[in-house]
Amino acid sequence: MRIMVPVYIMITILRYTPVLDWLSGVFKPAMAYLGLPGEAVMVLILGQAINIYAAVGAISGLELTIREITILGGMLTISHSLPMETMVIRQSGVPVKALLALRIGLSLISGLILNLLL
Amino acid sequence: MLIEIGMDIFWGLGEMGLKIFLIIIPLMIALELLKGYGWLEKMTRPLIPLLSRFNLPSQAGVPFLVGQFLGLSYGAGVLIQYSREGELSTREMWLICLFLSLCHSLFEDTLLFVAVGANFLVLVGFRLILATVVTLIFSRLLFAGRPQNGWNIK
Repeated sequence: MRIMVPVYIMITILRYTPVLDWLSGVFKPAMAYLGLPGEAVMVLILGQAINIYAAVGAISGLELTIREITILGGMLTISHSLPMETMVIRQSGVPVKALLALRIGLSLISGLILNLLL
Repeated sequence: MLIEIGMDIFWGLGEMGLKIFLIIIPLMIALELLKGYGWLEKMTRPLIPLLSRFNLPSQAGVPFLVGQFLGLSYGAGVLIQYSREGELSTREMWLICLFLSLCHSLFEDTLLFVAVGANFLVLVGFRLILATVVTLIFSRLLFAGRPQNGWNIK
């Protein structure tokens, strides 16, 4: 909650500025493969770098369809909070680099698959 | 303009906060009960056939379930304890970490997205299938021709 509220407020304010439109334009071609609009790149970055609460805060701030939110959910449940969770796994003593690469790769593949399936 | 933004934030926050609150708080209470009464250990029995498909011993069931219900940190905590007691090999630890890193906090993570509109069954089904298939593939890859313990990944 402590992270979700500030993220939501930030995204809502950004929507009144040209920043989000610009970002959306830049990422539009790449995000089209995932069946997502360009601005959804914010959700992916916040989810991967911070956590799911941040991603959900960003989703609430944007106007996305149920289908788009489900694709984002599929991608982000598989791979999220990477800095924190990688540290947690490292503590159990297993090598983490391969796991990290697998998570990011499978998250992107999941987006492609869900875009085709849904 | 400013008033418009303010109203937008106020109503949006109220709606989001209420949904998250209604879904996540009961879940948290249920999870605390699971933890407090030690029910998770008892629930590992039905998992044993699945674990043997991954070439994992039945001890792997506890970190599996703890990871699904209580989250990655608790799951990893159980794993650390097991590794100190020498109950699991490096390969077994890595496979459990693979499954858990792809699929943990199954209900909390999913319900957060459901609160903003995602489809519950699609998310849970897709994540479980993906984690199972990937772990199955790696369990075969790592089992074939590699020693049980001396194996390491860079």
